[in-house]
Amino acid sequence: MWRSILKHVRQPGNGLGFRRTGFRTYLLGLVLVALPLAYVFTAIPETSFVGLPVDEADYLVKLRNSGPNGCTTLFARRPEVMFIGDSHSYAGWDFRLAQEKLDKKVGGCLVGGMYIESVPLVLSKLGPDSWLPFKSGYVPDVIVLGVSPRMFWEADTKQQQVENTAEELDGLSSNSLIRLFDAAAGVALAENEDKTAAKEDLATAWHRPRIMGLNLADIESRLDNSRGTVDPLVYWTGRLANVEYSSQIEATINQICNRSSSLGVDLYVVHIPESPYLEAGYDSKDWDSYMSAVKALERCAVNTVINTSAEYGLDNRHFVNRYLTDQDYSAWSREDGMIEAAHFDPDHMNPFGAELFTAKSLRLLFVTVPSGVTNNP
Amino acid sequence: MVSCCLVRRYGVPRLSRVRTVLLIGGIALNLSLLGFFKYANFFASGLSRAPGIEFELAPVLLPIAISFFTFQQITFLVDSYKGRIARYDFLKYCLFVTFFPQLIAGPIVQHSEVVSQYESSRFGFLRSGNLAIGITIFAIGLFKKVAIADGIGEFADPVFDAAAAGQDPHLFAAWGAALSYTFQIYFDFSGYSDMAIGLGRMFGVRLPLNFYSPYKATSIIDFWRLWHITLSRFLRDYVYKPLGGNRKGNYRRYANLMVTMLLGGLWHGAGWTFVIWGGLHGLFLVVNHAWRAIAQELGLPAWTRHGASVHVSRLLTFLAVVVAFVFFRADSFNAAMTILTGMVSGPVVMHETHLAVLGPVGDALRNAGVRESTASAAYVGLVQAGALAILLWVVWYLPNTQQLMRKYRPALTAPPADTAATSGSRFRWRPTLPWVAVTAIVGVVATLSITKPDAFIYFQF
Repeated sequence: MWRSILKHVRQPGNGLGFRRTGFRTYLLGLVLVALPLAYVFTAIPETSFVGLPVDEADYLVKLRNSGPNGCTTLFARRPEVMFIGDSHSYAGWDFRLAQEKLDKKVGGCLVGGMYIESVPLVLSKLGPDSWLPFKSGYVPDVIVLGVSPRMFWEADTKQQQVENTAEELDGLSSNSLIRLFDAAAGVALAENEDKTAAKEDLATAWHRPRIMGLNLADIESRLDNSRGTVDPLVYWTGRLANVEYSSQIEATINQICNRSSSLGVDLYVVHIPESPYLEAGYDSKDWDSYMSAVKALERCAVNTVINTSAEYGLDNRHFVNRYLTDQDYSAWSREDGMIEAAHFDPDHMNPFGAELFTAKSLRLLFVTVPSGVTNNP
Repeated sequence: MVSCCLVRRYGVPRLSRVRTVLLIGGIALNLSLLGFFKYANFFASGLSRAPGIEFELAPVLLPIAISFFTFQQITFLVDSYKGRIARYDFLKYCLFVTFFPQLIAGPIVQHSEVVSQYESSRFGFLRSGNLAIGITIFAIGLFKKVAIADGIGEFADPVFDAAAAGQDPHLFAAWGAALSYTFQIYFDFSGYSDMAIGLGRMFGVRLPLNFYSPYKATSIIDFWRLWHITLSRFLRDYVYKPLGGNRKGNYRRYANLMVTMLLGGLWHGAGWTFVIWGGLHGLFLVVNHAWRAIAQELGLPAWTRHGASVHVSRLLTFLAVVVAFVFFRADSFNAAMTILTGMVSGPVVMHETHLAVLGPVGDALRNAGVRESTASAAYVGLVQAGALAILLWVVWYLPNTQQLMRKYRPALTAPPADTAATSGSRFRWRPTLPWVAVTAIVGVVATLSITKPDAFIYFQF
C-alpha cells in the first residue's frame, strides 16, 4: 500500500520530486493536516514548553526567587494551583513540597516588590479559552494569594514598582512564538543545565544542622546590637517608623473579589509571616490596620489564614542566610562577631523556614476543603 | 457618493471649465474631510500655543481607513477627469471604495485596476484554484503578522515607552529597540499586504502589489519602489508630477521631492515625528538622486549592482531606514532623540553571565568600561539578538511571497524591474503535498499565536 501511495505522490524528474496535485486535493489536504496539527500544537505546551523538556524539580526550586519565569511560563505550564505574591511569598513557599502535599501541579506569578494594586492586573491576564479557534486561555482551579503588610503600604517608589510589575506581566498572556520560545529557552537553559534542585538539596543538607544549631539568644542579642549598622535592619527600622496605608485598599480588594468570582476560581489568602525580630517592630495600630485589610479579603476567599511566625513555630533561625551561602556561623555566638547584610533577612524565610511554613500553612488553608485539593501533610 | 455624482456630471466636453471646477471641488471636499478628521486637533494644538489665542477643540474620532479611501476617491476623480474611466456604475464604485480586503490599510487601488475584475463573469464565484492560492498567501501573511511582528514588537515597546518617560537607554537596548521596531513594521505591513492579496484572490480579485522586500533595496530610491508601492505611486502621480516632477531642473526636482515626502510623512499621522520621518526620507532621496547625477556626470559605474558593493549599499540603506523609523515610532521628538543618542553614545551594559562566558575577553570589556548588569532583562537581550539576526537574514536573503507564488501571478501589477529585490529564487509554490504540510504548519502556528488583539500598525493611518 505504501509503495502505491509513494508512487502516486512522487514524480520522477520533477524538481523536488513531488507530483502536482489538483487545487481541490490541496485544499482537502490542508484541512486534513491542519486539524490534527492544531490539536498536537495545543497539547504541546501543557507537557513540555514547546518541546523543550523542563525538569520539574528544578523549575519549582527556581520559583523561589524573583524573575519573570513563573509569570511568563504560566500559560504553557497551566498549574492547577497558582500562587501569587511578592518576595515574601516566593521566599516563603517550598513549591516542591507544596506540589507533593497538594498532589496538584503548582506554579505561580510571584514578583519581588509586588503591591496589592498589582494583583487585579495578574487576575486580569487570566481567562477562559477565547472564541478564536485554538486560542488557549488559562484559569487555575485554586489561587493562593500570599500577603504581607508592605503590600498594602504607600511608598515613594510604589507607582514605579506597579509599572515594573505590569511590564513583567505583559508577556503573561502572550503566546506569540518568540515569547514562548523565549520563556522555554529561559527555563530550559537556566534550569536543566544548572541542576538547581540538586544543588539546593546539597546545600540544604550542609547548612541545616549549622543554622538550626544556632543559639536563639545569641541571634537576638546580635540582631539587637546590629539594628543601626546592618543594611536590612536599618531599612526596616526606617520603614516601620513611617507606615502609611494605601487609600486604594478597599477598591483594590473589590476588584480582586469581582475578578476571582467571575473567573470562578477558589481564592485562598494567607499572611506570609516575617521574622519574630521584625514582627516585634510593628506598632499595634499599624498591625491592626493590616489585619483589617486582610480580613476584608475574607468576603471572597474560601479560607483566610493570618498566623504569626510563632504560631507556625518559626523563629529567627528560619530567616538566617536565606541563600545558603558560605558563612562563618560562629560569628553569631562570638562576642566580637560581626553579622553582615546577607546573614539575616528579616522578611524572607530561608529554605528551612519555607519548608515548615509550607507544610503547616497548607494544612490550615485547605483543612476546610473537602474536595479538589487533598490535605495530607 | 458625492465623488461618484461629481464624476457623472463630467459628461460635458473635455477640458471645459466646468469639469475643472468639479474636479477641484471634489478633491477639496475629500481633502477637507481628511483634514478635519485627521489633522484638526494637530493644527488646533499648534494654534493654541500662539500667544493671545485660547481655545480648545473637542476630541475628533478618526474614521477608520479614511486616509486610504480618500486617496482612492481622489484617484477616481482625477482618472475620470482625464478620461481614463470608461463606465460609471454606482454599485461597482461602492465596491471599489469599500472592498474589505484592501479597505483598511491598502493597497490604494485605482478604479481601472479592479472594476474590470468586478465586471468579469468569474467574479463572485469561489474557485478551488483561487481559494488554494489565496489561503496560502493569507496564511503566510497571518504568520508574519502574529508570529513575527507582534512577537518582535514586544522587545521595542518597553524601550520606546521608557524613552518617552525620560529614561536614557543603554547602547544595546537602544539598538535593540530601533531594530526590533524596524522588523516589526516590516512584518506587520508585509503580513497585511499578503493577507489583503490573499483575501482578494479568494474572491477572484487580484490586487496591485504593495510590498516587495524593501529591505533588500540598495538605495533609498529603490526602497520607495518596494515599500508601500501604491502610496509611492499615488504621491508620484498625484503630488510629485503635478508639482513639476523632474521636468524643471534639478533644484526644482529636489524641492518637489522634499514637499512630496513631507506630505507623505504627514499623511501617516498628525504629528511632528511623522513630518520629520517624511523629511528625512525626502532628504535621503535628494542625496540619492544628487549622487546618481554626479556619478553619471563623472561616468562612474553603477556600483550598487555588483559584488560586495551590493551588500554595502544594502546595509547603508537599511541603516538610514532604521534611523528614520525611530522618529516614526517615537511618541515625541525628544523620545526619538533619546533613543538615537542611546544608539550613538549610550553606555555599554552587558549581563554578568555573558561577560563571564567570554572569559578574558569579558575582563577586557570590563576594563574598557563595559558595565555589568544582573537584570534578568539581559537574558532576553541574548534571545532578542538571535531573533534580530535571523530576521535580518530572512529579509535580506529569503524570497518573498510574490516570488514564491510567481507562477500563479498573485498580484495584479508586476514587481518593479531592475531592483536588487527582484533577483530570482529557486523556491516556488505549487499545489503539492509538501506545500500542503508547510502551509498547514504556517497557518496553524499563526492561528495559535493569536492571543491578544494587536492591530496592524497601518490601521492607524
